[in-house]
Amino acid sequence: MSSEHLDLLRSLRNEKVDISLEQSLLRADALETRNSKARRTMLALGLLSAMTIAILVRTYMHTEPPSHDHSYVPSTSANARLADAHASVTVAKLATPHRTVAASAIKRRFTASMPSSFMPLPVVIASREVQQRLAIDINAIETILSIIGSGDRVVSADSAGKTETCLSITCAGGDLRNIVCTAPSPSPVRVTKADGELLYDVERVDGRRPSNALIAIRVSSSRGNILLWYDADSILLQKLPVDGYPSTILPVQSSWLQPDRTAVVDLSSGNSPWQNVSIHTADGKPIDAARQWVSHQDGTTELRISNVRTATYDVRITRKDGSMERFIYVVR
Amino acid sequence: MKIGLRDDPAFLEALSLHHDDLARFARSLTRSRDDAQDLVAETILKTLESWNSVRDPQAFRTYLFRTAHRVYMRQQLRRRLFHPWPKDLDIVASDPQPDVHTDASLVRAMLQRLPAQYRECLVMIDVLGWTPAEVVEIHGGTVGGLKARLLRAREALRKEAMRGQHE
Repeated sequence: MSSEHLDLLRSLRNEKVDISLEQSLLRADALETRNSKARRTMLALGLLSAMTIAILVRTYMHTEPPSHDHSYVPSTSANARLADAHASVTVAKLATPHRTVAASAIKRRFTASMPSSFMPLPVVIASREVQQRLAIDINAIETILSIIGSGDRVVSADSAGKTETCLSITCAGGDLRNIVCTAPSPSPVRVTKADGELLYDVERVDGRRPSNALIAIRVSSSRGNILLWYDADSILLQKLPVDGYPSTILPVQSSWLQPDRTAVVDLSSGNSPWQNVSIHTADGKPIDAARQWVSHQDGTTELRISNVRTATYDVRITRKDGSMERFIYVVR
Repeated sequence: MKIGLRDDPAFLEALSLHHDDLARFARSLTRSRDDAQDLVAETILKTLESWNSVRDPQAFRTYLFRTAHRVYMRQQLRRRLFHPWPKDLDIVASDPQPDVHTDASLVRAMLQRLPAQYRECLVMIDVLGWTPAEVVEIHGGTVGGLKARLLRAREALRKEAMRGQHE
């Protein structure tokens, strides 16, 4: 070791330490205070950001618009305006955005006064017998759910000789992804979650479109309950127990979806004017969707539901004479 | 509930035994008294967080200086990235030993020009009087490696001093 270096560093060794313990503790206290303030600020900012994100997600993810059930108190002025063109017209005006608060109050009142005579959607709970009759293969459905992508198509076809029913899953670009075959059976035209949210639609290879008369069969899967929607044709009805399918579903005469996601449905007006229309998910939860309806002279009523998403809705109608009807509306 | 600095007499007692060495370590490594105080304060807070696991007095000293080493390295990085060193050096305090202070300031300035790992081992061994084995406990590596680094550090310091003389 060189003494030259020791000499150099001796000044540091001999220097009186000018930082006392008390000074260090005071400094540490101040530092801790500053750190805890910074932590609190960060926490507050984090909470604020999380709340903002949650509000934004809640606002924009759910495609149903904010509330506008003004049909509860029909607008007489609107009635008067349209009465010139159509006899017996009832219009529910869309709410202006600034009236959202009032609308939510209406919703609560509406929910409380909702007649309990509306049973949950007449879903057939798939007993072992029903499952066997329809040859429902839960494993095949779960396989499809596990491989299907958002842009994929599922196409159903019977094999030659009808020895089995196969579902092919193709990518958005047209490439074949997979084929799942089951015993020959009616294919559901749509598979949804219990609340009606679309999991996948099944197209027929011959291009045949399903009618609007659908029957939902509820089955249990590893993802919880899911609904298999079958075309209510005679073949299917024969396979179900007599009381296993709904009989009070209102027939839809025509329906279409406008580019702005407004569903337009034509139905028979029936004997009594409509007093109220409520929209529900397939499992019965009410949705605050803007809707309006116009009764025409030809005995039909046009119902418009704004901003619908791809799902299956349970639409319930209350008439002025107290009778109630419903229909299932499938948005593709 | 978080323990306050002054709530644990045992911690204060253990700290008081090594505080002066810690302050000298910090003072030798940093350019200013203010930076040294920051280093000491942050080291104390970090050490208090793990106080329960280092109640053994010998382990406490090692842990205290290991923490100081980490805090110092982090401060160096932070300083390099966000706050470049100011041009002015530490102001020499009015002290009864002005010559010692002036020498110390010059040596500190020379130390600042050495790599951080040279600086630390010089301070720990030549200023605080630690053995190479004790320093290895903190920095890791081998005693042989440390001794080699110490030799290179001394040589580098000597060159710095010679350069200062020529300038």
